[in-house]
Amino acid sequence: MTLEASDAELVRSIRAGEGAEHAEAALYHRFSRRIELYGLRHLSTCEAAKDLVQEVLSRVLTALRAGRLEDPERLASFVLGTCRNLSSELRRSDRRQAALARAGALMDEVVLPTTLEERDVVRLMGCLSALPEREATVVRMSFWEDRDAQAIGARIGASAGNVRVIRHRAVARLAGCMNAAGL
Amino acid sequence: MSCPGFELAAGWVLGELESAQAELFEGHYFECDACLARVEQLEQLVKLLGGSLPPILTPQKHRELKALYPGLLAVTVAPGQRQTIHLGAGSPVGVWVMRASLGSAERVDFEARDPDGGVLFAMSDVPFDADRGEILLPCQLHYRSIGGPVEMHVRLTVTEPDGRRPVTEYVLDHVFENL
Repeated sequence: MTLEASDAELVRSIRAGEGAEHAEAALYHRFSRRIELYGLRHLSTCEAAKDLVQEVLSRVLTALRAGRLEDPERLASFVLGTCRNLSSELRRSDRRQAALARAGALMDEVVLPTTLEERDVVRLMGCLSALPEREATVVRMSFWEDRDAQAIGARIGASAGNVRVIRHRAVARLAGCMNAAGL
Repeated sequence: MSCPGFELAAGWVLGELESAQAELFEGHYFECDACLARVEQLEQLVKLLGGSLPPILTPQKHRELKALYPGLLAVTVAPGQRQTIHLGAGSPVGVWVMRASLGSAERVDFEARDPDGGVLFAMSDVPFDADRGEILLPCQLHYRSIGGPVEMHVRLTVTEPDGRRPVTEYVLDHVFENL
């Protein structure tokens, strides 16, 4: 069993028990980071996202070993469904987590400007200066001036919805630029 | 669903998609290695943005920066003046405190030029502290790699109820210690 095995092959190996150890490792490799990033979007902290990875994979493996996934081709959907159910349970268990979901997931780790890689900072400055002015302004106001879409819209003469669209476009463009520069 | 592209992925990473759109994206993302890679890149970028120095500090960000770097270097410069900031291992981060009369300012625009007059960067509607009459421009040792001029000419333009007026130029010299 290799990392390139299909989802269905992984499910069949885990269900059969033959070569299950390798299949389980491949399953972990395939889904753990996805689940963690999903957790960062939907839960309050990096710690909660890491816990989600362990709990989701544990439940998925238990279900697979017991043959409870009827269609092996649906493994990805099954993992996502388990993520959704468990995240929902976690949020219900602590309402504060839901309120903090977005900001907390991104901000619970303090990053010092001086601990960033110098080359990344320089690339970011270059990519920012290449953005159209309106997009650069939205990025600056969003990430460094803590203004919400409504407040930014009032400053640049746009609706809050339009500000979000500009922000998505700008961040996507920045990521593309940083990727081209080797981030 | 075919790969939705960076913009939708960015919306998801920022938690700003409508729930139906987010669910559609997640269904695809769990099966797509290319989208996983995009989300990873976006996540790194958001972290980088969150940890980087703002181009101009709000008073709140200035307080946070002082808490992170006790004894934060600050160099005050009055309109029309020239000053020098020294950054090195002992002072990897510093702040230019540009003084200006901002009591009735509604908006401030910022422009940095090289000694020959070429625009280095420009920002409109930047944060300012009207009560203290300050605009705070942070800089750090990392900027030495940008390779631009160490002499920077800054022009501020203030918008007031009765119109726009330029504030005199500031000349900011940077000395980066060789490490």
